[in-house]
Amino acid sequence: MKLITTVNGYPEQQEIDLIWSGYDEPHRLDDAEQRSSAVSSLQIEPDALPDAFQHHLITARLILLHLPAFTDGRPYSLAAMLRQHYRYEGEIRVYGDVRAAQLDHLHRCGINSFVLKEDQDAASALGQIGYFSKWYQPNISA
Amino acid sequence: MYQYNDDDQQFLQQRCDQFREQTRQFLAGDLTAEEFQQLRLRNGLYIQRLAPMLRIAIPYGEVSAKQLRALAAITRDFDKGYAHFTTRQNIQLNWPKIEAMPDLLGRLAEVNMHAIQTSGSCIRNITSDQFAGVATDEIADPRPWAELLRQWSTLHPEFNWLPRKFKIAVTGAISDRAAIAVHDIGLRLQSDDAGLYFEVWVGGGLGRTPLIGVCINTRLEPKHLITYLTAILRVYNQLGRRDNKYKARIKILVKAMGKLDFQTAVNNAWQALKDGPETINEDSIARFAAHFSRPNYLALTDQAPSRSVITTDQPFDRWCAQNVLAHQQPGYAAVHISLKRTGIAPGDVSDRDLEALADLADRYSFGEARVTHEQNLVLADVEQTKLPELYKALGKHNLDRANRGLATDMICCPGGDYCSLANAKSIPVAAAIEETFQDAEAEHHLGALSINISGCMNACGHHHVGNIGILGVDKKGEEFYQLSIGGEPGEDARIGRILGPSVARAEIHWVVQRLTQCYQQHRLTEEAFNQTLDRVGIEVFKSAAYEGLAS
Repeated sequence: MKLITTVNGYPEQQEIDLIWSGYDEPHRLDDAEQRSSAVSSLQIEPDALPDAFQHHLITARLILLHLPAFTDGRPYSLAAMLRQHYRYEGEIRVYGDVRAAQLDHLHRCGINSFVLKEDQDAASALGQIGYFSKWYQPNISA
Repeated sequence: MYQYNDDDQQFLQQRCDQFREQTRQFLAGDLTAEEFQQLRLRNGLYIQRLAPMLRIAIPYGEVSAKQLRALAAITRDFDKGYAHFTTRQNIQLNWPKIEAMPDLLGRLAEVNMHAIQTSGSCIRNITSDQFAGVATDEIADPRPWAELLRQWSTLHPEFNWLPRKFKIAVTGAISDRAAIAVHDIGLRLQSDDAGLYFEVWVGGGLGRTPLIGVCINTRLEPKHLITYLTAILRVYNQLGRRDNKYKARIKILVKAMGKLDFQTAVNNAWQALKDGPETINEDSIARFAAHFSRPNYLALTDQAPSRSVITTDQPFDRWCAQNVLAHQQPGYAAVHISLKRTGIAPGDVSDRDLEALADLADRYSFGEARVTHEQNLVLADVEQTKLPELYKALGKHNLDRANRGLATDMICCPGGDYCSLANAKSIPVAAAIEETFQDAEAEHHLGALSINISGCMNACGHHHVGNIGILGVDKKGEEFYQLSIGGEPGEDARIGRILGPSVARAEIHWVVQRLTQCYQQHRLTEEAFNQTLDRVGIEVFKSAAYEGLAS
């Protein structure tokens, strides 16, 4: 698990191969295209659906999920689907409006790297993970 | 009823500790009001018109005598000595202080109660049939499933930030007393030669856009319940609208996608989950069912059936006919206790009422009571021979009114007297209508009639599904009321039709009276309000309602 603190929750010098949003048309790539489009890091906007970018999951090692507001639940389901449905095993990093109180649930959905908003206390954020001794649902492991 | 184990208790304690710390941070200025709002809502705390309001969960309406006593003490120690039962089987306090909330929640936790997810954009309290386990028309007891869903939905990591609130209801009887067709998800237990299964309804709801749900799975094996619901919630969490809170409920998504596309999306999402780790195994079903085994009934026989027929004008006979219901177990009855009393807001109870009800539950019904979505209480397991003495005891506490399902058994939200969302008051409207029905004889003659009052579009009083629905609207700062008629909540659920122009507060009870007179004038023998309405047409009712009113 990784905890990164930066200004306003946005990575400062993030090198991203590809950014994917819900506006991008889903398309199929043949093998040649797939190889040539090999990306190792992928930034996903919350309105994107995994079906549309699943061909990149083979080579991706880092997926950045954007949490535009702490009340936005979409990245939670995206992470859960990436782990459960697409069996993605690399790093899932969430950035944006990431607050201490959210960390535990994000973690339990399979997110294993967090870019914490600057005004959040890192120690308190880490304290949230594992705060409860037991849960009523199984965790999705990273 | 469900008994907490050590893990449940520890969980609740940790949740209380967590909220105590969040409240401390907020009061110290370390947590923004915007963030604390979301955290407190998920612990049931609203900031209302005059004071905070705390909504306490009563899972599927089941409450013990011990819990009722604790609630009574809490209303005294933290509030003004009264509380309000809601249309979702919960109970609300109207005057708690924010600073006292952690202690209050701690007191609730002592009796295994909480306010988790009674508000906020998450899965709310699971509701069910108040006669679960005793109803004579029951196919299977819905409570084990409701409890299973309560646990599954409690602090679910993926579904704590949905586009909007999410309500699930479960029924296991032929007559649908849980109103599953007007819930985000409605579950109906059915059975055939191959065993028990669920019908899954989605996208029903009231509020601004009232819609009847659609059945997207006609036969779901019970073991798939959690994985299938996860798939529904996942589709909703991803695709539900977040740009407009009035279009954010799942009903809007289902309507926009269409039943078929929504079904396909759910099935696709389900493929990754089906038969996975959250599939419910036989052991766990049996474990949940064991919590709802039948109480230690005595071997009795049924008393004279004349108890279900009005034979004299005796108040006791009338009460039996109206408020006492048949039971699965010979010699027992389910008793409906009316919380619709003259001079008291519908669903309101004092601390003394709560204690009296606790004592009666202990003495007559194995220490348990049920809350109904009509804002009344039920003692589900009363020996028939003890009905006369129970009736007498209820009378001492003004709890013996024989009006179940009658005109004065109105469903009514707290409205503008308390709620900051309301456009108009609802409690005084209920009181004014109530006054026009002072003659119990006439009310009985009128017969079954549902009147539902909501103070705003959010429809907490379920006005769309009342035979007569009343909705408070604001007209240039004045309280007006829009009427709809022909609504129905149960297995033949339908949304009422708007009657005509809205009516001023001073007139509304007279309009209701004219509607009931119109019904009586036109009805055929044994005909219910909606049947008469369907036969004679809405225009007849409309002209009766507006007769003599200034337009």
